[in-house]
Formats: sequence, structure tokens, C-alpha cells
Amino acid sequence: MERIKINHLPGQTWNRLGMNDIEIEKYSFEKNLEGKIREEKEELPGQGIAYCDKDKQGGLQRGTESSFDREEKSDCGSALGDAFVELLEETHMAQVVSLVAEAGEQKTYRMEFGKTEGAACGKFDLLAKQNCEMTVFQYFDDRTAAEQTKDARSGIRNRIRAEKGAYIKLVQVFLGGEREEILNDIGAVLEENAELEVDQIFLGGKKTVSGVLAQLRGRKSSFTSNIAYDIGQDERLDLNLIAKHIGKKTEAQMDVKGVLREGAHKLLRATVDFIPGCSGSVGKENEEVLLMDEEVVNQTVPLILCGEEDVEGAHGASIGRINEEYLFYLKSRGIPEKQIYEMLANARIETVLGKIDDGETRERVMAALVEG
Amino acid sequence: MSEFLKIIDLTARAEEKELLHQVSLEIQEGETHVLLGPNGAGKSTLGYTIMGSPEYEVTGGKIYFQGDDITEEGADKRAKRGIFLSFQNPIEIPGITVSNFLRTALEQLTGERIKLFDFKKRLKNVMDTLQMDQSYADRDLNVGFSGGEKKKAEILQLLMLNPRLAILDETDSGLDVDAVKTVSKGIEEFQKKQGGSLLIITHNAKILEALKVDKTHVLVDGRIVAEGGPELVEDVGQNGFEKYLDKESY
Amino acid sequence: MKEKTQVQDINREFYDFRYKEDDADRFEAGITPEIIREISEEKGDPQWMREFRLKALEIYHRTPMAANWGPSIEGLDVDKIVTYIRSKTRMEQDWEKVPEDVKNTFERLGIPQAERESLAGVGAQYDSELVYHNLRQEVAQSGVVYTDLESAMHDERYADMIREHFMKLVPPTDHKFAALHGAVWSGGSFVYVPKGVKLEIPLQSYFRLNAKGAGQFEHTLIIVEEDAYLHFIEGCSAPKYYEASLHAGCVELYVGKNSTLRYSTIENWSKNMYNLNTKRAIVEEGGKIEWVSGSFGSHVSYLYPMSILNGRGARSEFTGITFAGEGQNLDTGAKIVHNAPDTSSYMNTKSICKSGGISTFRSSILVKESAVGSKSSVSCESLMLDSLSRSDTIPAMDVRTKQADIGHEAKIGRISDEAVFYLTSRGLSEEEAKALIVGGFADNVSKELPMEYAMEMNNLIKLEMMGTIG
Repeated sequence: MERIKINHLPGQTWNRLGMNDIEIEKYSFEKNLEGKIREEKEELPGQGIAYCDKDKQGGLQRGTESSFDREEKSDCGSALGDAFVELLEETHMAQVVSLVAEAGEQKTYRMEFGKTEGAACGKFDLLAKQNCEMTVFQYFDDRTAAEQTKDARSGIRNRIRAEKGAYIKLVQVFLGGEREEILNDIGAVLEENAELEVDQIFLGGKKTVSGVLAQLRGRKSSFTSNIAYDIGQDERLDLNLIAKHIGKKTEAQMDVKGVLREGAHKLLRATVDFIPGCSGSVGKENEEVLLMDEEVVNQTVPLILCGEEDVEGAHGASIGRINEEYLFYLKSRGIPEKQIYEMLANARIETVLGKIDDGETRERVMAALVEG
Repeated sequence: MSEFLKIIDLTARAEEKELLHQVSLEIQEGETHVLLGPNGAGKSTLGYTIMGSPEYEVTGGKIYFQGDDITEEGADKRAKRGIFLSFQNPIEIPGITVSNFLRTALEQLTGERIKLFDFKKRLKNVMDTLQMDQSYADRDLNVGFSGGEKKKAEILQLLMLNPRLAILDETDSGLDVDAVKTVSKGIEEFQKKQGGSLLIITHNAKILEALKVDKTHVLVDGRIVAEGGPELVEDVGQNGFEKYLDKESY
Repeated sequence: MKEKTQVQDINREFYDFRYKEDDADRFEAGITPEIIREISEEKGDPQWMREFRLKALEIYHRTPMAANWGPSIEGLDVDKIVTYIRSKTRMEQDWEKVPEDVKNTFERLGIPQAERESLAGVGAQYDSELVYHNLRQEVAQSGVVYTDLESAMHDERYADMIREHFMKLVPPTDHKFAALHGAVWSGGSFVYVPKGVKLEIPLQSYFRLNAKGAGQFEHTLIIVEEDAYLHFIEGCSAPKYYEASLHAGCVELYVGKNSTLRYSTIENWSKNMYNLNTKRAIVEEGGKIEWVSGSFGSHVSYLYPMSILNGRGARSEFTGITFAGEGQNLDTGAKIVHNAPDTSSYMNTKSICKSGGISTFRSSILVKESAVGSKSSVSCESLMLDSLSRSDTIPAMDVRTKQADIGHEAKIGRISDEAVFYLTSRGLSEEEAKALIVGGFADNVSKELPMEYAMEMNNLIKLEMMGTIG
């Protein structure tokens, strides 16, 4: 089987470290992801996503045509890279779900995807027009399937445009079963004063390759990302976060908190890229990893690429055991070490749930944590 | 019970330096003791060692609590026995709210599940006593708290967890007058209503005003150099530690 | 100071071998086995070294350059290496041929004419020879061996030791230029510090290398036995000029149980140089390697000293500064492998770029399963002096044990206007103020250096900042 490399590190390093990209099998998608979509509280017509052509439903379009024009589409970019985009584009049956929030509107959409056998793809185009607020929840829950097939694969791509002053919040929750592979790509373009927040929670999942590219084109546009993960035995998570500061006074803040249990393998690439001319910009990234067991692989490459003098960039990472002082404080209140670790593991998810600030998301995640 | 806390010839070190030399000290149930001493005398070290901090290594002597030898026990075990230490610099715990934390700790200490309703009610009462805004319950523990708020949060934990022995390490330092009052009120509550024993490490006589002090110990250079009643607090307040320092050097 | 005459036979020290000119293959395959055999012949290599060189050449030819990372070395004319190796005339070059910027720097650093010529590679400095000789006498009394690697290889007391250690830490398979080094290496230092010897004076390769005129493919091999101490200083702050533009040296350091080796380098190659250097240390139980590294010169640099912490409690400290000015692309950093329990590493680096210079900090920290209880702390800071320049930070971490404490911090920024204002308000010119601030920024390295080196480094920073060089 032919293999392709995706999720490239924007500034490459020694190949022997194995962090420059991830290699996956090349395959073609056979169908569209099956799921449901709701706007606010109201269920949209048709069980599941119908993928019918040009059917306009209160800002929701489904079909092979995107609400983006050709140029806008290619413009959004991809964190997973060209090889992944080609894979999706080669799939002629792939349909697009277009979500649009008109100028000044406030919209909330919830999407829910269950188990799919074989290789399925989902393409979502999110267009937030001037000064609107758009919140999109996407839940990928694999555990509901009665039978786990081995070759299940999902390819997901969100293309996002936030016009002047628009606010988009995209929340993705991955409750992994034993699905072989999830490829999840987000590419966004932000205009002046636009804000994008991407919050993601990864619980389990055999192999998840996920990336976010935020192109901060407009002056004072901003990108925040809160990510939490908790993975274990034979689970692999490969992340690629890229904040590209293009306009002046743009801001990015990426926070990743994670828990690795026995047999887990995680790689985080987090990049702040200051393009010449982006004066006054600030980009920060931070990662905290809690290692619960021996036998974990924890890889991190936090990049700062800088071609502009007048910027402020920082990254920090702390990995490993809980510091003694911290442990002592909690123990002195009567909590045993094992419990402290579990408590702190949950605290990481909890912190991101706090940022997401949504009851339904919290319930889903909590339920999964209790089961898991 | 005849013996409550009994420390015999305790010697402890951090890294290569010996900080406590053969310290002996006894506290009976319900008593309030004050530990005084100049900076760097080893007062905090003694408090942390009683709580079982891994930062300090006990190289000699024993600590008994209610008749059991606890010298080698971990901090969580000691907490279960009813020992509490209020930290000078409480650690910030992001992701865990004050309320969640207290409930987890209480359940660990009592070994029972606690009904949310009862817990919330009690928490509210204690917070009122300490004049703490209710919103603190949902804030992450110590995260972004000011110095005074952190100290109050320590006293909140003291009253909620209701230990048998509380060691208060400079709980009054860095507080303004009003905050000292509130904190003292909390300590008084612990002493009188909950009948707890106290070992108060302090510089400040103010915090002791409303409390009945049973015994005072003066620690200099890791040694107990004087012991007495409440009058010793006043004496040190007026004359400082000079005479004890002299005594050391001759 | 009066000028010393050149020492004639120095000319013969370096690649001075007979070569049958054969026009047919001259520009073809680059370096051929014949050339390598002639090098061996000329040096009187023992049999194992003859074979080693040929094997390394084979590896060189079949190893590709990594094309996806690092500065471009397209401008490097590999055929020139052949020309260079064949050249007999290196030491006879004319002072007049030394580029103006190098001469100016000598002028500003106040280096006497004779020494300037020596440093520029156009003459031999008699004083240096003498100093080196005296130093050797003193050091020998303590039982320390400090000599050049080639003669040591022929000395039966050290021959086996060298064979046992030579290119074992940096095998020719490591990368293309390590292979090239293995094939054509020449000159360099051999230091052996016996058990229990703590050498108080630093050994400085500066004297020896200049006297010998070596320094392009030099090999440094240092073996420090148990309970010993050594400080080795390589290079100096004056620019070194070589016509041939490739430096592919190799440094191998063996640090024994409970020993400390401090390895300091201030490097200021002329700005036509491709500096593709490999440095590596292996540290046994309780031992410590301390790297102090300043990179100022060269057109392109690839330099990442590596520490392999191989015994329980082994430690590594890395303190570095890189200053990339106009036309420079300096890719520097460090690699650490935690391979045993309770090992610790500490890294503190600063980089500065200016006038279109590109500076990349690149690092890797590997904490293996076996490195239970290990600690690592990395802090890197970059200063951008203008928007023509570029500064990238590419640190990688790979942690495979729970019982580890890994911390990483990086910052990028500029000189604060407030600080410049404060200093100018006290009467400094803006240029002076900035130079002062940058000097302060570099103090992580300067305070680790012996005073005369620190002063030279500060002068160098000042010169670079004043925009009068290059």
C-alpha cells in the first residue's frame, strides 16, 4: 500500500527524531460521514445529514457546492498538508456541509457523528460574516458502535473564514473507540478583528492525526486554542498547531494539557510563525503533560519562527512527574498519591471544559470519563 | 488520652544542612502552643517535618501522635490522623475548584461519600464566618489569589477539614489589619468550637490576642532555647530574641 | 613587537603530499580513494587508519545531505575541498589576500601584526610555538598528555587508546560531513588526563592550532579518567581566515566517573566559511560535561554539541550564544541523551540576529526509559535587532519515562525602547546603549569564560553592534 506523509512540522528538524511528520497509509474515502446536525435547540429537517444539493436552511447549506468560492476554498490552507487535501479532493462523492452565519447573527450548531465502517469523510465549510458570532460543536463518538471494525477511518476537514469582527468558536470532542484512524484538519483565515477559538478534547482513539492552521491575516485578529487529551494503551495522538501571524497586532494563545497512560504515544507540534510585517503581534504556546505510567512516548516540538523584530513570542513546556512541593501540599490534606494523579488528570480535562463552557459538552465528556 | 503530640530529640536536615537539633516538644489535646524564633531558626522546618514533608530528612528522634510513631509516615497518612499544616505559600492548583478539592479531601479523610447538599451548606457557613465571597468556591484553588486570599483559603480548609492538630505557619504574615482579624476569628472558631489543638508559628502577637495560649517555645538555631507560658510571648515581643542568641554563643 | 620570520617547515605540516596530477579525473568524482591513500602515505598512517579513511570515504559518497532542514550549503564547492587538500601553498598565502573586513577586525581588537598574520593563516607565530611548548612542559609534570593527535597515534603509549576511541562517539555514518572528516582528517589535539588529576590551568588549543596551521579538518580527542578535572579552550575571538571555505572538524570527549570536563569555544571563522562541525561527549557515572559555546563567525554553521549521559547521576551543562550578522546563517544548539538514572541536563542559550542574519536554535532532548529520575531544564532566548533578520527556535523533546522532570522555556523579543531610553537619558548614544544591552544579554556566556576571553567576546559584540565590521 502506498504511504503518504502528513502533519508536517513547519520548520523541519533532524529526521532521525521522527517528529517532522507522520506517515499513514494512502487510501480513498468511500462515503460521507453519517451524523446529525442541530441548530440551537431545534432539530434540522431530515434524520442525519442529508447532503442534498443547494438546500438552504436558515444559513445551513448541504451539498457538493461550498458557500466559498474557488479562491476562498484553496485559501483556507491545511495543517495536515497537501497530501491529505489531495486525498479528500480525489474523493468525488465527498459532499460539503456549509454553515453560514450572516452579518450580525448569532448561530450555534451541533453535529454528532457515530461509528462509521470503512473510510468516510466529512467536509465542513464555516463562513462567519461580519460581526457575527458562530459556535459549532462537533462530537465524534466511536464508542457507540456495537462492533468495532478494523479498517474504520475518518477524514475530517473544516475550512473556516471569519470576516471582519466575526467570532467563531469550534469545539471538537473525540471520544475514540478502536477506530483505526482519524484525520482531522482545520484551516482558517481571519480578517480584521476576527476571533477564532478552537477547543478540542481527545479521549482515546487508536490513531488520531489532527492539525489546526490559523492564518491571522487581518489586523488585530486573534486565535486561541485549548486542547486536552487523555490517551492510553496503543493509542497514538499526532498534533500540529500552527498560528501564522501575518497582520499587525495579531494574537495567538495555544494551551495544551495532556495525560499519558501506559503505552500511549503523543507528538505535539506547536508553532508560532511571525511573518515579516506582523509588527506588534504576540504569540504564545504552552504545554503541560502528566505522565501517569512508565512506558509512554511523549514528544514535543514547540517552534517559534520569527521574521519580525517587533513581536513577543514565548513557549513553555513542562513534562513529567508532579513536583514534590505540590504533591506534599495535596497529601497534607489527606489525599493519597494515586488519587492526586487521577485528580490532576481530570483537572486537565476540566480546565478545557471550563473554557468551552457548555453543558452538553461537559455531560458528554464526563459520561465518557466515568465509563472509561 | 495522655499523649497527643510528642516529639523526642528530633533532628532533621535538608540537603547537607542540619536544621533541627534534638528538638523535643509535647502538646496535649486541646492545647494551644506558640512557637517563636528569629528568621531562619527552623520554625517552618519543624512544622513541615511534623507534617512529613519530603524536603526534610529526619536523621534522629521520633514523632508520636496519639501514641503512634508517625516519624516515617507520608503526609496523606498524617492528614488522615488529623494533622493539618497551613502553608506559608500555598500551591496554586489549576483545574480544581476550591469546592471540588475540599469535597475530595473530606471524602478521603472520612472515607465516606458526602452529600452535595450538606457539603454546600457547610461550606457556605464557613465562608461566611471568614467573610469570603461565595464565588471563591468555584474558583480554582489558590489560582490568582492574592496573598491574603490564599491565607484565608488555608483557614477555610482548616475549618472544613476539622483536624485534631493544626500547625499554622506564619498565617498572619503579609495580611492587613482586617484580614488578621478575620483569620484570628477563624482560628478562634477552630480552637473554641471545634476544640482543636494548635501550634502557631508567628512573629505577631496580634493574632494571639483572642486566643488562650497554653505554652510558648522559643526556637533558635534549630534548638529549643526557652519554654514558658503566655507571658513569654509578651517578653519576646518587647525584648526580642537577643538574650537567647547570647546564651547560644557562650 | 617585532615580527618573527616564518618557520619554513610548517608548510609541510598540512596535506603536503605528492600527488600525480591526472587531468582526466581532476574535476570528476571529487575525492577519490587515491587521494585518501596518498594522505595516509604522507602521514604514515597505521594500517587500521588507512582502512578507516577509505571506509569513511565510501560512506561519504553514499550518504545524502538531508535536504529538508538546516541552512543551504549550495554555495559550498565540494571540488574545492579536493583542490584544498591537494594544495601545498596554503601557508604561503599573501597577507594582501586576506579580506579587508578580517584585517579591520584585527585592527579593532588590537592584535599585533605578527599575530594577525598567524591568525589569518598566512604566517607562523614563533611566540605561540614557544608558549605552547612551555605549557606542555608544565602540564606534563602533572601526568597529563597534551599533544597533537597524529604524533600520539604513532606513540606506542597512546596508539591503542586512540584506536579504541577514535570516531567511536561520532562514527563516520553519523552524517555526510562526519564521513568526510573520517576520510581526510588532519591535525588536532589529543589530551589524556589520568585518574585523580585536576588540572588547574585551562589548556588552550589556540596556541597550538595556529602554530601548526591546522584547523580545517582537525580532530580533537580528549579522555578524562576518573575523579579528574580539565578545562579545554578551543578557538579565539579573532577571526580565522582560510581560503578554502569548509571546516569539518570533529571533537570527541570521554568524561570518566566523577570527573568534570569543561569545553569552551569562542568561534569566529571568517565569513566565507561553511562550518560543519561535530562535537560529542559521553559522560560516565557522576561525571559532568560543561559546554561553553560562542558562535560569531562563518557564513553557514551547523553546530550542536551533544552530551550522552551514560552513567547514573551524569550531568551536562550547556551555555551558548550565537550572533548572526549580515550574510550569516547560523544553525546552532545542542543535543542531550539521558541514558541512565538520575541524570540531569541544563541548557541556557541566547541568540542575536542583526542586519539580515539568520539564527536558528535547534535542540533535542531525549529521555530514555532507563533515565528514571532524570531532570532537564532548557531555556532559550532570542533577540531580534531588526526585521531584516530572522530567528527560529526549533527544540525537540522526547520523554519516555514517568519519573522525569522536563522543563522548557523559550522567548523571543527585541530590545525594549524603555531600556534604550533610560540609557540614552543618562548620556549614552543609541548605538552604545544597544551595544550595552546586547552585551548584558550575552552575559550567560561571558561570565562562564576566563576573563581575557570574556573581554574579547564583549569587544567582538561591541564591534558587531557598531556596524563597522563586515
